[in-house]
Amino acid sequence: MAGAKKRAERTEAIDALFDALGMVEKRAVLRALGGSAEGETLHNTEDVERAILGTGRSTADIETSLRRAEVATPKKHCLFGTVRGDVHKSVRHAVQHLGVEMEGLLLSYAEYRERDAEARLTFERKVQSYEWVPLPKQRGYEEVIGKRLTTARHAMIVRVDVETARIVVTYRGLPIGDDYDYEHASEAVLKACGQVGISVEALPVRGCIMAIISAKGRRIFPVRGDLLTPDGQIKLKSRVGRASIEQLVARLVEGDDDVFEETELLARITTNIGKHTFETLGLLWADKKILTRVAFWSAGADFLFVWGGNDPSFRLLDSLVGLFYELAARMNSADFNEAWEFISDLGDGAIVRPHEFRNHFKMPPSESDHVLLEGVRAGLLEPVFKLNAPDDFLDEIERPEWTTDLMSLRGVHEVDGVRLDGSKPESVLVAFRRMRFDRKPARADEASQ
Amino acid sequence: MTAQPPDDLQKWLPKLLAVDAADVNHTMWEWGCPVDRVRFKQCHTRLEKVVAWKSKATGKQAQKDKGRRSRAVGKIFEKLLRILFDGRGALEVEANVRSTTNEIDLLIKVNPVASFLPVVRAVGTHVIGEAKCHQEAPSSTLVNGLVGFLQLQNATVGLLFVYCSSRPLESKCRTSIALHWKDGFKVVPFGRKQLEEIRNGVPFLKILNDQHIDAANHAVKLHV
Repeated sequence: MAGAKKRAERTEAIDALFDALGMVEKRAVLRALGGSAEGETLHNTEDVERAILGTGRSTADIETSLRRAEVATPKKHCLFGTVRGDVHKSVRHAVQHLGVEMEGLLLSYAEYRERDAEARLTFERKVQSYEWVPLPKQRGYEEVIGKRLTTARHAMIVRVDVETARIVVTYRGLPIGDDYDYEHASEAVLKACGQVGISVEALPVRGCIMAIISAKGRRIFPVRGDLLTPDGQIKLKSRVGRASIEQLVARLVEGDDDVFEETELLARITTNIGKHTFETLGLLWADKKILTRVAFWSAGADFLFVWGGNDPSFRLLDSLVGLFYELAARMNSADFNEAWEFISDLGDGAIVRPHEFRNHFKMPPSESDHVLLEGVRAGLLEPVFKLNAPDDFLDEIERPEWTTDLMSLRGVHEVDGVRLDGSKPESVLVAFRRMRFDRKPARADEASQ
Repeated sequence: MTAQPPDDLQKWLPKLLAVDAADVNHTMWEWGCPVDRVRFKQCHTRLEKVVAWKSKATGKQAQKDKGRRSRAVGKIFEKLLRILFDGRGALEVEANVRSTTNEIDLLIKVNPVASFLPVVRAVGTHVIGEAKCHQEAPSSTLVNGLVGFLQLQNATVGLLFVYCSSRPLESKCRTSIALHWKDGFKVVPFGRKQLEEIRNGVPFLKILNDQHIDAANHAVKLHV
């Protein structure tokens, strides 16, 4: 038929890539290949795949678009680190190894995006997999199934941010039941990165996480834990959104005698937990409602993200894990540790004025401001605001206290002919208030009263 | 010892925005360009009703009704957009440059507070807002037309407001935006999806910031 587009061949590679992508990613590929209007009316994944093959583009173009879509978003598993040495030189060297096999992996995709200052690579291997298939019925058996051996493609995506030297290795999990050692696979990818010129140092996640947990902020909570002690292992699992694991343990020693003061009890539990080692830990990012299981390996820590209603993106990932990078970069500094401990020890509701904080610690002002901002990011501090006016002016307009309600300060305030415009940034002072999450949650019967 | 600048919003607002903590960001963005949400919701509801209205008449009367509806949609849409810029924040409407039945052009002043906000920091003194009230999807022709208008008005940033049904931008339109971006003319599309988000409480500047990033990156997920 005149005008009909030639259908591309569905190669083994394209088949495997279709398998790796979700509907949203496939629609994005269809739009990128010029089939946008058509894509929005297709609801069936096979139809979208057929439409992609029917765009008239070559097999090579389609495969490249699919690979580009695969590296565009992070998968459930992520491992974080930093690149040592000249990052720019490393990634330029790495992308020249496209098509090379090493450590049992094939470098099947490699792109350096100069505009974004970012490199994306895909290392893949074939792994043994299986599926259960029904077999012909036999007399005396209700159902007969067989384990059919297959092979599956497992891709591990490496993304390097050239400006920050941050690297993330991200991959899908394989179906439950597959005997695949993710730790070994991650080590192989890191070795392969080394072979193409990208030398990776794992992020010291354990120390960063424990620093945040012990500070008891309101943004990141430990909600799961496999704790190894000399006397045995304790598996902890709190109800997400209701309690942290420390609060769960506090339930075991609560009583009517009030022997322990609540905050002191939780502080003791946290300190004692910190003396032992977590094999795995579950963290909840409360504001974004994202759950993460962290497994501590020798090569680094594997994060398994449950994205919830969020769209996974590298930007979202940076906002979650960026805090760990910042802490890791500073935790070797005695001055930073002193300042961080000061904030951690503050009582709930305590106000910190930035200039008082700066004067207290022997660090450059930019560094002490940075500590306050990391405190905000970790959920230990929240910014509070007050109009920049004398106390008697504030008393007259009934706004003497620091407040989080910045919008309430907007507008023009007047006392005895003196006017202050709260819409101007120089009219509003900024301080920080400590937020602690160290109370036991109300019991179900208390909560209903 | 070097004197430290005072610890006010002038110093801390850009730093706090960079922290990327959702609740903190929400406060900052909202402060930067506040929107009267009660008025916005009322106006938005009215617009949706008028857009959905269908004449029961036939023939000439139907044509007359269609014209009346079109004029009403244009007026309400203009009112809705003005509410976005009425809050004495970073962006404020200075004047209507041109208003016809289905095309409104707004000259939007960038106020001094904008110098502390990432998305509007580098735009200069003015931004042009162009609004299309018809049902057609944004096209490369529309983008090219707006860029031509930017050049006449000596501006580099244009906000393209559309009211077609919500959809991702077509490849040709995204390519047109990307090409003009390279030449220094930045078109940021803003449609039904974004207006719904504002209605649901998301700060206007936050949405503008996100659309700006997606437009700058020629992102396939750029949506109106």
